[in-house]
Amino acid sequence: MTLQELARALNWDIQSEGASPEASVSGGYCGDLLSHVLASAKPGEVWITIQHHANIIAVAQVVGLAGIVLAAGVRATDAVVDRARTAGVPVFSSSDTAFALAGRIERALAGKTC
Amino acid sequence: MQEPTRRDDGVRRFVHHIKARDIEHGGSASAQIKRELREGGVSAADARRAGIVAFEGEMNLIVYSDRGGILEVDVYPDAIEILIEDDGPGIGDIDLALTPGYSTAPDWATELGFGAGMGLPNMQRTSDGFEIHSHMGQGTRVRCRIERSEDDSTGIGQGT
Repeated sequence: MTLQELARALNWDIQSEGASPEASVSGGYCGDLLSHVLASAKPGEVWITIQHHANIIAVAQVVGLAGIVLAAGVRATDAVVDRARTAGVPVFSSSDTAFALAGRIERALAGKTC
Repeated sequence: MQEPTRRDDGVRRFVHHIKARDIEHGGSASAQIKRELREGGVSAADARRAGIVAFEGEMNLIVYSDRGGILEVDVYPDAIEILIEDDGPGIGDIDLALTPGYSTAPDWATELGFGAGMGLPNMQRTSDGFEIHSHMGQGTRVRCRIERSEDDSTGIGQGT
């Protein structure tokens, strides 16, 4: 499933489209402690977090994440969105909680109704 | 943004001067290093490991150092060496600092998701070689070595 398809299926608000919306998503990682994300998230995964400062863009770049989904209605500021666009990192916002998002992403990637 | 230089012996070197408390730009140097490593032919997997080590080192300079420090990356044919160095305050108990979960991060950093006590342990476990020297009042020097994978195809499917 591509990032674009996932975003559409789960009704995410696109804040930064990113350089490769057609990239396929391999899984997800949920967490707000950046070192844990660096240690455990894998390239191609979407990262669910409520952190919304500029450093998350660098984390996504370093790990090679498919994109960032901000949970619980959190939105990136214009400055962070600018950084994301420049870096080509996709950033979305969702009204779902992190728990709900993780469940919905997993079901979507498994081809089930989400 | 800083351009890579080339040492007298031909080794490609990236040098970034990181400012203390410059949280706004935290991670920017590491993201740039990773991108330049990829552009220079380093595999995605090796560039990613180097990026993670550099990111943790960069954030340590920002969060903990008195006056910032240097993040330096040398690219050898068989390895990538990353040096992070500052001139204070120094680490009192290195074993404790290397214990996962131990952190002395200030509140402002933990609120941003830093200070999980995983920075130095992440650098150590992501590297093939890891050295740390620190003296209170003098500073800290961390040197990490990443052996490059022989086959660049190992990066396929592991993102960019």
